[in-house]
Amino acid sequence: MNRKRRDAIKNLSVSQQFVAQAEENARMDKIRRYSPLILLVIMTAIGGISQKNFFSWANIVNIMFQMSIPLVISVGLSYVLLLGSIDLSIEGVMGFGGSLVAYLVINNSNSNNFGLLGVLLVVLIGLGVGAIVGFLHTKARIASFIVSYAVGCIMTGAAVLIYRGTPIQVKDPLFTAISQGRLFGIPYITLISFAVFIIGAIIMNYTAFGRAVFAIGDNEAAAASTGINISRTKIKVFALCGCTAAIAGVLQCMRLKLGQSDLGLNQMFPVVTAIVLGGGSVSGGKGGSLQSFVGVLIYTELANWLTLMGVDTNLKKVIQGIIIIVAVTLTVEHNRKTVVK
Amino acid sequence: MRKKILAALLASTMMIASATTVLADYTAPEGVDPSEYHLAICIHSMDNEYWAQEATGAQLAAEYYGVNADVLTCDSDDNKQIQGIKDYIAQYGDKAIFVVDPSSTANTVNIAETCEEAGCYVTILAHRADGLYPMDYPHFVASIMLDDMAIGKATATALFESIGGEGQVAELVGLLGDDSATNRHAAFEAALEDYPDIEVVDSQTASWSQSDAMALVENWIVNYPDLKGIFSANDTMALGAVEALKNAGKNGEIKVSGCDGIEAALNAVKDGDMVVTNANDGYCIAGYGASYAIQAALGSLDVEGMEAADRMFFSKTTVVTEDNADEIISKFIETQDPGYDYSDLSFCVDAPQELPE
Repeated sequence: MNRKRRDAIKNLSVSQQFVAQAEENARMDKIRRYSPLILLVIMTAIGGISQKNFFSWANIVNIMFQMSIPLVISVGLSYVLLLGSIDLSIEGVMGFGGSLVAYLVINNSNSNNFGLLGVLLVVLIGLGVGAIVGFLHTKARIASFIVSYAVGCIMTGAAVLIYRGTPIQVKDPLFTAISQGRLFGIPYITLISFAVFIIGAIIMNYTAFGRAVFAIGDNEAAAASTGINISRTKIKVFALCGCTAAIAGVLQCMRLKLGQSDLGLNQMFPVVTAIVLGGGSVSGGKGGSLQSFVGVLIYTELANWLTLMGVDTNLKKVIQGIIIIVAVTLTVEHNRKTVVK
Repeated sequence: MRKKILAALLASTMMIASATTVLADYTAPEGVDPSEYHLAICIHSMDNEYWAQEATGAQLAAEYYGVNADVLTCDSDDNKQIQGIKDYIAQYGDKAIFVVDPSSTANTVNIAETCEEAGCYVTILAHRADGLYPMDYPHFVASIMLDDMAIGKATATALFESIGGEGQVAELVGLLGDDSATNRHAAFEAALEDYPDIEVVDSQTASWSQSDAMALVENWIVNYPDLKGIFSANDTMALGAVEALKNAGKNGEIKVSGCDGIEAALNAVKDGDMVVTNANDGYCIAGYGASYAIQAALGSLDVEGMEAADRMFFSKTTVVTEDNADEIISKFIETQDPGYDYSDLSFCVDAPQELPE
């Protein structure tokens, strides 16, 4: 708010001030809501102008490919961040899911051939692990980042126990078909990730559960007073996040054909950053599916663009960090009365 | 004449005798019972193929000499490793023998001093702190390292040769700030000096990650249609490159080099998806490392009488191409026993390390 405006408000009566303030907030909200989209347009324009290959179909396919796994992770993580919690078990669950699915489908180390049944089992295990995180968080009252970190460690260890040091090589033709397949030029893996995203978005925006998550993130006490079962909702949220992390692990394994705990390594924080870039908040109550989608797209385009530019690898990290800080400064809300932690 | 015949006869019997001692099982010096000795194989963890190879190699050596063996893992934690060594010493006293892949370079000083105090023989693998020399410690038998420079140069040269010594190449760098990543990058640059017609179009870190490497290579394929080769500082990243190339139908066409010799990479070399990798050979470095310490402890190796160059050297490794991939896979992966003769200590020596003045 600029000084002139503030002075103008001072000269009004209390009720007028209140109305002016509300109008001002609404105006800023509107700008903020669209700023991630504006950022996306700017990012895309810069990419297209500076690099002739940026808009080539092959590169667009690359961007779609590279955003698919972060997008799947973001579906579940968006719910968790809406609550104001965090799930650090995602990387462990991904690594475990990828390692287990490699063990269950046709591979070089055993004679298993469970195919899609194996995939289903892995996704269900992810769901279960997420539910356990949620249960421990709500019932044993352990902070989400501690309990999810601990569960993540367990899952990473369990992943290594599956393949005992020698990563399992996937030989299943089904996995090759999915990772190399295209429909109208769009990779199957991207289509799968879009499907997961759409399901996540529908649940978030059109169900009582989705509304409950928003309510809890906004004000937990108020949500409880309206009869929302806080614990149950939270457990469901973490279960959903575990489920999408497991799906991400399976997709990652399809892409890389090697089942090992590293499949999940360094996958979570970029997605948290992406969600914040898209207008989400780590303190809860703000954001949503579409915002996360936009954020993931911005983040992927940025990484892709920096590679096409051929920026020095040391400088690249620096530039990436600076761009993220600038972008987040432009998009997040600064005048919230709560303390930023 | 008779004398000559006698001499020849004597010489031939001596040769036979020496040949048989090499082939026969190890016999300890008189009055020494190897089964009273205990070898601690100190490694990071078992969840990495290379470390698992180290453990197996050292176990094979212990079996050969008839000493007991235990694997102590430390999960790359300095304190845990030192504590494990101290506990082992408390249990077996001077009958404890150590072969250590240290948790960190800094920890090597602690390890050498702890073993020296207890009078236990130790070989330290792969890392050595600046200024720490085996010659200063009667019980620090040998420092055996991997020559990242030589290995990186060998794989880079093989890659350059496979594309005819000219054209566009991109480099996948390891984790920034990591020792091996820095050395292998330097080795790549050194190898480039002999190939003026090779153009490096990009050099990016994928932080040892297969997934990061795959994304980078996907982007490279779009941006550099004339790309002919990809140098990768390890096998995991090389396998990420291979997956990206497979999706683009360019595997085998764009050549990929790796390093370390993990199972999946050996298979990729065999299938023609990768052109070269280097088997770092944990069986060799740890098996012979254990042999040095065991022989010293049992009294068949006179540590004090050894030259400095014999106590500080680089271990042998094997460059793997299509030609020897089958053999390496069968030795290292299928039978998990490369059939080394652990009595011949000089076998594992590739080149001496830089010696102190």
